[in-house]
Amino acid sequence: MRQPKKPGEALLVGNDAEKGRMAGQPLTDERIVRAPGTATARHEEIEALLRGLLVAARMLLLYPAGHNRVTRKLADLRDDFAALFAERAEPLELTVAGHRLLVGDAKFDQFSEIGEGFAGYLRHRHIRAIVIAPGIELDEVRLLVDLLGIDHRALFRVGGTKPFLDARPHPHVQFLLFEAGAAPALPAPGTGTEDGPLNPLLQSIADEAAGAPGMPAGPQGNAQAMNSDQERFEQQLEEFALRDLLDGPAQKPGEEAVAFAIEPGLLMDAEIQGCIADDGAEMRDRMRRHSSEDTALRILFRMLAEAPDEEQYRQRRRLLLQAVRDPRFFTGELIHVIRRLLDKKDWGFERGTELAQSVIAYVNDAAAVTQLLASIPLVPEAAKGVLACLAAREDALPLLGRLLTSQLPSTIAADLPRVFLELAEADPRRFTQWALQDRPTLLRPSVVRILIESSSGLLVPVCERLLLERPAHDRKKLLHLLGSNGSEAALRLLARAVRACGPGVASDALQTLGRFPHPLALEVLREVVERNNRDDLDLEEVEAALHSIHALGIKEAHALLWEIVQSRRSLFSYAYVRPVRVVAESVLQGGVRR
Amino acid sequence: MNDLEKRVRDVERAEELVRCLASALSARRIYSQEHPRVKKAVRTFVAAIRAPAVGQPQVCVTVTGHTLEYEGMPITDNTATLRLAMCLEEVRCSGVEFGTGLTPESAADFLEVLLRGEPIPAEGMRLPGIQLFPWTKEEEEDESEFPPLPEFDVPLLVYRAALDVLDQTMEQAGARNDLAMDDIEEVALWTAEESFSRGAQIVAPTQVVRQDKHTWQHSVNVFLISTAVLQPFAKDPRELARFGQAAFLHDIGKSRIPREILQKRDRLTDEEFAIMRRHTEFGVEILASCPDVDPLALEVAYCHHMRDGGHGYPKPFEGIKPGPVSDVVQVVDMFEALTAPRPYKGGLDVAEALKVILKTPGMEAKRATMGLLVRRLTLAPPGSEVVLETGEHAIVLHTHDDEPLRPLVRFITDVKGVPIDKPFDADLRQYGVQGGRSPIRKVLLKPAYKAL
Repeated sequence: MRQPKKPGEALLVGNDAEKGRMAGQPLTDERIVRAPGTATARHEEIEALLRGLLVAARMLLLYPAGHNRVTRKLADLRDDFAALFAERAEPLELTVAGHRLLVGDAKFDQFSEIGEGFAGYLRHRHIRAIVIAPGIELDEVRLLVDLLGIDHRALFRVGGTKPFLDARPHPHVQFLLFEAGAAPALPAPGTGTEDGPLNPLLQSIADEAAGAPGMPAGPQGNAQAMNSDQERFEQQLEEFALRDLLDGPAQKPGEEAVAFAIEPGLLMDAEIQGCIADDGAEMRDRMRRHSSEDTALRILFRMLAEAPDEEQYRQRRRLLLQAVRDPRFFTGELIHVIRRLLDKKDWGFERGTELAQSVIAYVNDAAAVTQLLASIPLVPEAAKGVLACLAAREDALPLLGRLLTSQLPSTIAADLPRVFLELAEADPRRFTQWALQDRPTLLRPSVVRILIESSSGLLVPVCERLLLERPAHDRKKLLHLLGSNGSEAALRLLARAVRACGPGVASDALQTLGRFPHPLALEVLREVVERNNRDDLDLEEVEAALHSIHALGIKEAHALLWEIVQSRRSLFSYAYVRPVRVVAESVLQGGVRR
Repeated sequence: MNDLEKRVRDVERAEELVRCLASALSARRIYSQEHPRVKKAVRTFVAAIRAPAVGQPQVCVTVTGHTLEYEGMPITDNTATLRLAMCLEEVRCSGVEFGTGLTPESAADFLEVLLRGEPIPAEGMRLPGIQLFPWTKEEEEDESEFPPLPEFDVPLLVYRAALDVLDQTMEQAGARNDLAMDDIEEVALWTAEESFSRGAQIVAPTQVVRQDKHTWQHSVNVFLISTAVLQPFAKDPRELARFGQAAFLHDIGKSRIPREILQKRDRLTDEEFAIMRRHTEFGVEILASCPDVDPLALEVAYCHHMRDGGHGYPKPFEGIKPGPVSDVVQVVDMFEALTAPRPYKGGLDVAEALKVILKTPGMEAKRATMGLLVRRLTLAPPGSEVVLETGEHAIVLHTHDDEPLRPLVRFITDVKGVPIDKPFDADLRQYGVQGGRSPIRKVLLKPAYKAL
């Protein structure tokens, strides 16, 4: 951490020649500038003071007011002044003469850079001379620093230097201002940026970046423009004077230490400006419209088409087929690709058809395959090939099952049930497994119809399982489908299922049987009633069965009901327990409503 | 079995455990707790700890500066384990002991603790089969005295991880092995997450590291810059990771180009150039043979040298047009190649590089894409040391997207360049004028990056 300086300790090191000077003895600038041995030291002191003031002014741009770094810097400056005046009682006069700075009567020539820089700062603020007396206080140092740090145009927006100085007491510092009209070219109050806050020095550069403010036309405008240009030039001089004085030359692009030689001015370049004009809206729009899946598919297709030899063709064919297994690749483009493959002109019939079949067979999404088959007209040979490929897939059953429920071109639809049934009959266990898992597909009317008509008994185990395991929704749907089918095959299927289920068959199944006016239905229903004997009575089931018998509406059914009712008077009254007879009587009389 | 063999087995077991845990953590970052992938990863982890062990049934892993150690031996060997170590550090855990009492539930709870990122209690934390040890007093003191500078620490870690993964990926692709897509996804997701939370800062190492020490450094730079450029256009880190992954793999086809062509210092002959141009096709072949490859990666690998009007390569074909992500990767690819110094050429400065790209035939329509890149460039990336107008040196901690030239900095020297005892932070946005000249005078190379 920086140690606080004692007055004079650092600044007067080696300044022995000054030690013998009497207090109050005038210190001429001749002595300051030219006294051998002491002159250099004195210059260093003054240079350090002026540099310190400018650095403090710049610090005000970096740190908020009251920041401890600023406070410490001001305190250091106050100490530096105190050290300077400890050796001399007379005030320090700093006067602007053209571009030069005079210290007392002598020009500050040996360090003209900082002198000129400082003179520029004073001139822009309409200050002709500053006289700093011994005993300068911290607030006065602050006033000096503030004056240097503030943007001079901002200063004139609030009335100029005088009101700024009048607002704060400065007994140890006198300012001599230029008379009106004698000041260097400066904008008249109000010609700067009117709105915006009172900004510090960087405002000038920001204004430059944003473009010059609008100028009135005619000679007056030209004069103002000239003033404005000159002012900016002067301002930049100030900037660069300070920049060069502080730390040596700015780093050049291409030096090793530079990360990217990006200049702030780069963003002002017209060409680059043109690039960054878009705020990303175009990119967002393109992202919405672009499909990388389509492009990737086209790329794979192109690479396949351009395969230089048979080996490359086989390899790229494999890549295309592997890619289309990914559901993301299923887009409208795939249909286009397959159509291109089927175009004899490009590929020849055999190779194109083979590829198209393979592509369709590899698409790993049933909905996608359905859509492909529905959209692409296939000749019967190609359709057969595609179906054969699909049947060879791992997921052939669910896929073909799903296809059965879709509207497909006749070339495919004609052969599809046969292929499906062949596949199912080849492995009934697997079929049952699929059917129970994929009940939404199974329980589509078209699928059930095909299975019923197949007479291969594939559906029986599925029906039994559905009735037994009683998933209410699916069971009802199946029964509804069987009932509405109305065929004898459906009845036999239902009968076998109900018989297989044994006691506890749901009333829905029995009710469905009531829709078949067929002796087989009556037989099954009678079995259900009879098996409910004394020992194992499910009255609800009996009631459902009796209602279904009644619903059959055939002569034999009516006779059976009568037989049950009258059995209490017969010798065989044990055949039906009393509750059964009571329900049967009620059914006959229409007295029982479910 | 002698002691050495036992020890080797123990270390292998610890490595396996950590890998399983890191994998579960990675999965959990992406998916919900109930997702099958997360559940499977957790089950694998639990099975690993329950498997019969040669030595102690318990495994104690310690955390030391982004590294996991087992009895003093580092066992952090991939991006996922590195991120696990960082998670443990974030919850201020100095070590974890896993025992056979671990259950899937406690393992899942442990993942949640890590992902929440809140410090564990001072007395530690115990879950069935897991014990988390808190930081020691010394570690707490170190933390308070030397707070980490995560703003540029993490991008550096990401950069290193990306370099490692790309090295490995290129090696696998060259040897025609399956690519380690998990690692690629992990590093892409990490980069995307950091890019979402840090904006363009993720680019910092690419902008500071200009040496050509690594073969695939260019690809990593392109990956990071592209990710940063595309970040505003992704709805979440997962989508950005998808973009990033495509950029990461854009030059994968070069793994099949002979080394002597890739590393040739002189101008390529026509034959060599013809071979070099095939890297786009090779890229597609490599990627298309990976299961579940992202179509975007295929597109970028194929199209990143394709320009408008039939310029560039491969030549245009019906319907094949580079998409927006390909355009970004192409512009960044050119920019990086032009600005990076090579042993045989110096790097152009930014302005020159941009102008060269603008004048390249077929790039006229990509001005907007270039604009996106320019917006992401910054004079002072986080981690760089800057010299201010006052002469003070500072480290950039955070670059604001709206004012990249007025970053948050940490002052480290006074105006004379003398180091100060107590560095302090300041936001340069608060000083000067918005859009005005930056108080930064020059940017220095950060020593940490020099070491890369």
